[in-house]
Amino acid sequence: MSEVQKKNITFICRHSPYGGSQARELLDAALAGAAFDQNISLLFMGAGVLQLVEQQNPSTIEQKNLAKMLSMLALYDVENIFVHEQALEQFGIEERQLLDVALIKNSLSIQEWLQEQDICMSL
Amino acid sequence: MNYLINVTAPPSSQTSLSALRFCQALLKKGHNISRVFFYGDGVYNANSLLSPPTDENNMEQLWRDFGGNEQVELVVCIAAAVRRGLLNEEEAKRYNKPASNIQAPFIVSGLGQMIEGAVLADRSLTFS
Repeated sequence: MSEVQKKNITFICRHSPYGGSQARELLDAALAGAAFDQNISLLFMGAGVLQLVEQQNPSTIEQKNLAKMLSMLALYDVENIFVHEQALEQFGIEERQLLDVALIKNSLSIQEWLQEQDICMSL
Repeated sequence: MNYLINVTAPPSSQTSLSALRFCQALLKKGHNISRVFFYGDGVYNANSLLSPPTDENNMEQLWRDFGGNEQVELVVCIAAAVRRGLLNEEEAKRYNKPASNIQAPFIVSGLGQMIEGAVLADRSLTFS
C-alpha cells in the first residue's frame, strides 16, 4: 500500500474461539491491518471474551490454539486490546482466568472508545 | 461518498442479496464503491459452480454481472477461499487440483486489499 494514511481501526471480536472460523478470520484481518501499519485495536465482546480465557486446550477437539495468535499481536504493536466487562460477567469469567493481554472496559468507556475510531470492523 | 463493502455472508444467506441490493442503491444515488471484498464464508459467493434451481437467484452470477456491468472490483480473499475449496485457475494449478471455480471479474487477492480499501474509503460496511 503506497498511501501513508493511518487510521484507527477497531476490530470487534464477538465470536467464540472454536466451532467456527470467524474468530480466527477476524484475528487474521486484524494482523493484516497491523502489517499495513494501521492503528489497530481489538475489542472482545459477547462470546468473543471466551477467546481470552487462559489455558485453552483445543487439541482435544483437534483445533489449533487461538491464544497463540493473540500473543502475536504484541509483535505487531497491537497494544489496545479490550474486553467488555459485562460480557465477562455474563460468561462467569473472572479476571484471573484471562490471558494477560486485555484491559477490562465497561460499556460506557467502550462507547467512548468507539467514537474515536475511524473504522469499526466485525465479521 | 466512497464505500468499501465487505461480504462475509454466504450465497445461501439473504444477507448476500441485501449486500448486492445495497451496492446497486449506492451507485444509483451517485456514490462510489471502491471494492467489494469477499471474506469468510462470503467467498462462496464467487463459486462459479453454483447451480441453484432456475427460478432462484444465482448469487455468483448476480455478483459477477454487477461487477462486470458497473466496473466494480470484486475481490475474494485468497486465504479464506482456498481453505474452502474456491480456486481460480492459477491456484488450482498451484495446489494440483482437478478444477477451478472462480472466474472473472472476481479476482483473488490478500487481506491487505480489505485493509487498503477500508483506509481509502469514507465508509466501510460489512454484510455478515
